[in-house]
Amino acid sequence: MKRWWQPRTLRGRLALWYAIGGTALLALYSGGIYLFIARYLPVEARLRADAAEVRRRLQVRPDLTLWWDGYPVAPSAEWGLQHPWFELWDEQGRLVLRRWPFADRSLDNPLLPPSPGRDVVTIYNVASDLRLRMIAMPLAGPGGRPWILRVMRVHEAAVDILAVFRIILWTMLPLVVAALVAGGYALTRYWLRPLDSMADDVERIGVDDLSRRVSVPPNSSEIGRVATVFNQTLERLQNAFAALDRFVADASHELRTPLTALSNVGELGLKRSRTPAEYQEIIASMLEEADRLRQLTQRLLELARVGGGAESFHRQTVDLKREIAAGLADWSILAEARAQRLELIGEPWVIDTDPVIFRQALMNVVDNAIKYSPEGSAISVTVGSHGERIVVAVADEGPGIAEADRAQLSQRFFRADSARARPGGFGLGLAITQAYLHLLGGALDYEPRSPQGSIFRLSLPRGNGHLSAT
Amino acid sequence: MERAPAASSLAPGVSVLVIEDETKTRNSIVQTLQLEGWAVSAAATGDEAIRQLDAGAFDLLIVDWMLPGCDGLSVVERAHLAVPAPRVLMLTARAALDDRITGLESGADDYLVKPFALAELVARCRALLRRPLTSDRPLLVYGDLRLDTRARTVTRAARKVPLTPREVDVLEYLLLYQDQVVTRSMLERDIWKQTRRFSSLDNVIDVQMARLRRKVDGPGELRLIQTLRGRGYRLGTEAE
Repeated sequence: MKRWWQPRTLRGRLALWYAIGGTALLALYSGGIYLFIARYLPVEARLRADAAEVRRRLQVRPDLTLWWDGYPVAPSAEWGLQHPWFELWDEQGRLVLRRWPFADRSLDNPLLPPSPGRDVVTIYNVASDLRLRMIAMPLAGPGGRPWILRVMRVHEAAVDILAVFRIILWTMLPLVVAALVAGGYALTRYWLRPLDSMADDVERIGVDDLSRRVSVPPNSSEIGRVATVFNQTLERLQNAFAALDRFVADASHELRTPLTALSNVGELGLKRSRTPAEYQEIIASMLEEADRLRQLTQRLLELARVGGGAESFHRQTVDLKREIAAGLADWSILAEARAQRLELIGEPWVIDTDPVIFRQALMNVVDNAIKYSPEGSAISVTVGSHGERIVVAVADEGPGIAEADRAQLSQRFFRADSARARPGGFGLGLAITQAYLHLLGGALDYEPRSPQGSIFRLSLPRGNGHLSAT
Repeated sequence: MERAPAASSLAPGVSVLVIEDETKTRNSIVQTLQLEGWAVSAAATGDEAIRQLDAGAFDLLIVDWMLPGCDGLSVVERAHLAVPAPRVLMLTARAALDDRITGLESGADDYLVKPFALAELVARCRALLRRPLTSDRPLLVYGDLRLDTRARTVTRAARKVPLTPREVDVLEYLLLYQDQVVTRSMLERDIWKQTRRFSSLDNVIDVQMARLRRKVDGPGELRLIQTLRGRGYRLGTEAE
């Protein structure tokens, strides 16, 4: 549930922060200033000036008589407004002298003696309509006795200024906050506008139209980066979809060939009545095509499972060379039939891998080597290590792969021209091998062999593999 | 078609229930098993199968994994309530190994992945009915062909046939299933022990069979190893 204080948009949230946070901070700041001024300015400065004047003009003689500018201090009644108002208190808290233009009896509250200390400021309500602001400081009395001088002024004057300041604050604060909120909202909106247009762009991108791209804002802000990354993702997605489309098209094409043969043979068989032998021939021919369909669907399924990551694998510690030898034993009969020499050489590596899956990956390559190499040639399978990888190389003396075709080698349904001439293949073997090796953390590489032939390298991570002792 | 076993090792009175929703598949399975001389009932849905299971006892169930109504799994669970519980052969279109394991764990005794050959179906059924063709007979004979299962030696008439161990295995299998079709996938599974069917061994098997034939069927001798186009192999005389 969204509460009212949790606006939906980023800029709304920022504006809200400006409103609440800005107000609070500004209020704190101006409050502090207000309190400072209220306490010290501007009466403070004038009080200090008064105190300095008193110190300069007042003289305490050793006989305890007080003199003002060389004359005895005028009595209270004659103490004009032009002179500073002050009190003198002795060290026992007794009033020595007070000069101000008020009659003591008109006061509601008698003045209390000042507490000792330097520059003690007090505000004192002397009457209902009169507040005095005072500052007290030590003054050396006769014989160095620690007397206290206290000067005072009417507090009202300062209050007036503070009132103005308060009004300024109260009116300005909302204005400032409003400006902050509006500015923040507008700025955020301006900064985040590319995000809005990006969202619009993305909205228009559908599965049918993956070629569209998000417009990248010119400045290299975070949003620009998001847009770039998003576009890269789209690129990969588009490629994946294109590959899928191509795969479906290729697969349908490959499936259509046996299907056409199947239905044509059946149709032809029913055209006229035939002898049982002829019918048997027709049905057998149809079964052959059905078998081809079965094989193709099986391989497609296999590819989809491995490619889609559905294939589970079980690592175990295996003697790779022994494992390969067991696999080659099955295939050696094919090589023998073509008078080819199939040999296994190399180092007896012991590694952690899934032997069944690796064997399948390898046998697709070996099967190709046997199929495409001339009769009487040699095919070698070599086990070795290269850096951190175990490499199994299958070298043949076949026609090799034309340079133009090498990039597509492991694409589904790719068959080199030399292979197309032969019936029986689907062009899925290397794609499956690559998918299997990928599953095992390995890779498939091709290298032409001189003067003729191919070398397919199947590499696996070495892990903590080691050479077998035997 | 399969030939009906003349002097079959199978006792009569085997009753089978076929549960498969696809009509053509169901009909061909039913007819094939009837040719074996078995009493075959059929059901198109899981619910129908359960009604039949309530009504009578069966020795063997052939169940499609994916059924309309209640699925194959529920049928198997229901079937296991019967005493003695029938053997269960699961048919599945899923080639996934994990699904196979699930099928076997759920109480199926064996499985066949679609598409399968009817010959293989019959072979699996026989195995499940504990009437397998494997035997401890010391000598397997077909005409003048003899295979000593202990010494692993083969003779044709008076001629000694030199075979590799694998070739002996294949020939023994053919002799056990004599006069019946042996498919490549049966050989793949039972001789090459390829349980996870990945890259096809078809080429390997074809070459192996060609070599075996060259050795077993000498010049001038009756051809015993037949290649049946699109189906597999059969040990027997030329005519079916």
